[in-house]
Amino acid sequence: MRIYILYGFGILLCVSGVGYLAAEYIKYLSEAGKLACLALTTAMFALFGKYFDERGW
Amino acid sequence: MAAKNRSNLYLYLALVCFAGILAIFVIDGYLGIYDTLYITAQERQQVVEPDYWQQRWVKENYEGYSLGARWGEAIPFRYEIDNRNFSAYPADIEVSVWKGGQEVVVLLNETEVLVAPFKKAVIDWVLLPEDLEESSPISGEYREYTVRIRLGEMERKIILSYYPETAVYPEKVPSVPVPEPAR
Repeated sequence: MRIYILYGFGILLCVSGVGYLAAEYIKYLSEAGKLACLALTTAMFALFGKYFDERGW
Repeated sequence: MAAKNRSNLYLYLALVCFAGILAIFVIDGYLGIYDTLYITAQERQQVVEPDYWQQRWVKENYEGYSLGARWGEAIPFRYEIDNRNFSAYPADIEVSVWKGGQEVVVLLNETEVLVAPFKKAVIDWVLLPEDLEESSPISGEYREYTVRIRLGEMERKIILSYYPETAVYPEKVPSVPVPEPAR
């Protein structure tokens, strides 16, 4: 059980770290770049969803 | 087997999307117009990097870069425009000095610059106290001006604080003899 708590904590740190870096770097992007990033992020989450769906999660 | 291959394909496509996001961050973050300002005052060169103007507190409060200088010294400015685009960057640059919302002097008037792709252009000018047409400040008096640099749609503000050339101290007050304490 404790190991899953550690995993969860690690995942939370990774997500918050990536989120912070994205928030910092997005200032330097053009409007087209921001839009492309949004589209790719949406596609990435959709594809991950399909992947886990196919795996039966 | 086919279902496993298909699920792996989704995973690979998701990873490609992630790589695409990283590539956009790197490439789009690098491309653009970047301006760096070099100012020499009091024998020190100060560099105002493009990042300075991106800071939230500078953007929201529309604050300028603060610079202190001694009255009487010439302040050389060097403005470097870095064009990291695939096309040439044509722009007008105008530099003026303002005080209390009034324009005092124009140092550069609609100077046209054309920066080639992935090249830099450097513009130099010097601000002399004579340009401001004011007498020397008296002791303890500070004078503040705003140097506005307008490049196309961008505007940079430098808040310039002058203080007197030499410190003037009050005349020495003659010492009053202190009576000896009674014993």
